[in-house]
Amino acid sequence: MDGPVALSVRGVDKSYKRRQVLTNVSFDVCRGEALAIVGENGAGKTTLLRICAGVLGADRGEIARVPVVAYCPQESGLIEHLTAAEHVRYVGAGLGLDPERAAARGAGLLRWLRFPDGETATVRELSTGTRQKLNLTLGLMSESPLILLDEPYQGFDRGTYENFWEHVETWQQQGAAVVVVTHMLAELYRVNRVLELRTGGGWTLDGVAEVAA
Amino acid sequence: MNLRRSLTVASMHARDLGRRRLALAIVILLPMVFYFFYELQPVDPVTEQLLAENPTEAAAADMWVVATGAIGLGWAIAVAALFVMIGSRRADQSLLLAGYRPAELLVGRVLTVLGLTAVVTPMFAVVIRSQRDLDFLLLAAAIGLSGVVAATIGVLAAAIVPREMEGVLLIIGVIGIQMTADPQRWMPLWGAGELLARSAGLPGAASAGAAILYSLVYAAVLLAVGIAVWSRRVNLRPPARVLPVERPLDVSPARRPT
Repeated sequence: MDGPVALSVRGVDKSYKRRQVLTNVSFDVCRGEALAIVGENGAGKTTLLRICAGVLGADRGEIARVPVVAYCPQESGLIEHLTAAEHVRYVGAGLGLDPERAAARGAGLLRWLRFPDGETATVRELSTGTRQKLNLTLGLMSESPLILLDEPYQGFDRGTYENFWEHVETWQQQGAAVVVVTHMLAELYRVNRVLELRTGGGWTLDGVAEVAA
Repeated sequence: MNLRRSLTVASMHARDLGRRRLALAIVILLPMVFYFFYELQPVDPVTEQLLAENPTEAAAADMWVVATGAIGLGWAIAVAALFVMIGSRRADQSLLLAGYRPAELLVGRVLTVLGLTAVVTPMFAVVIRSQRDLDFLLLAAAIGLSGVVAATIGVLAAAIVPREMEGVLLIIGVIGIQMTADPQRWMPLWGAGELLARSAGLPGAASAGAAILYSLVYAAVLLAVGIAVWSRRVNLRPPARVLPVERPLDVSPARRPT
């Protein structure tokens, strides 16, 4: 890829107590590129993404990235008794957007993700898939050129799931570097590169072993 | 710290809290239940005789009934603060990544709980004043201050413990010690207790200024410790190097699928 680097991971180690999860993981993701992180349960996919986003510290190694990230965690960070519009305003204020601009940006993203039009229910009344659309919207509101997604399609129906992968392509065309944690191996043809994590700390990039576990 | 962002946080959590009707009802009713439980308890004839012979003791015993209500309010406010804080924990990462500072989020949530205290305090003060001849302003100040200090106890508990259950147990412990400690000096609700005593004209109570100052300083210290502990817990890890963004994302409609 020719775009500038949006995320650079160098020599990252992480262990929980005595269990080594990540060993010397290194890779770059450029703008306009999509990288999938795959691996079995407990291989450290979510841990690695959290380290990239800055919500978790690594034991060793270095992360270099653009200042703001669009991060969509696997577990939705929503407040039960707020509506989608209120969430958009809440996150927008953090981004320095006035309520009108936040509403406009949020509405555009919600429409794009096929969030039900005019939905005024609070989060606790929404279906899992609809909640996840809102979760994804909030993550994307920063319009960051680095998008980190941790299995963001949980609960999506088939049509929305198909759309999600089209969105990944669109984000790339917009100039974003996209990192997706996924179990959907059938969709890997849609990304440029694949980082596979193995239980115990080993990993391969595009099928090439970079480090022994 | 940006106060405007804290006010947005406060307004969002006020909406969230306002929609939790049952929780709000409990916050309002709990102090009343504490108060009326002691108020309606029968007094045995021997005690009644002793209190009749000693007016100072009788006034102190009477004041204890009011104090239990104020402590009940403190307990309810502390638990409300705990739930507002811990209930938002899953959203914290997203909010911090969006640009909020930990102190902005925490101060906003404290403002929400103080707003709740401001709503409950006059209601409770009016109920007590309708039954007892107390200085209304001092009574309301005492109840309000117990809410203010309790809110910061809830915030600190939420910063220290990982889950609601441990937080509730911690608050039960603090309030339990508050109710049984003798002397009360150095306890969080001492200042509120002194104001209550002053509202009834009991001899030996601290001055109103000293009691208010004590409560506010106590609350400020608890809040500062809460902010420090919580910020340490939730703070983001900045990247070792920040890469430049040479051009923004192209989000023009032409780049979006139809």
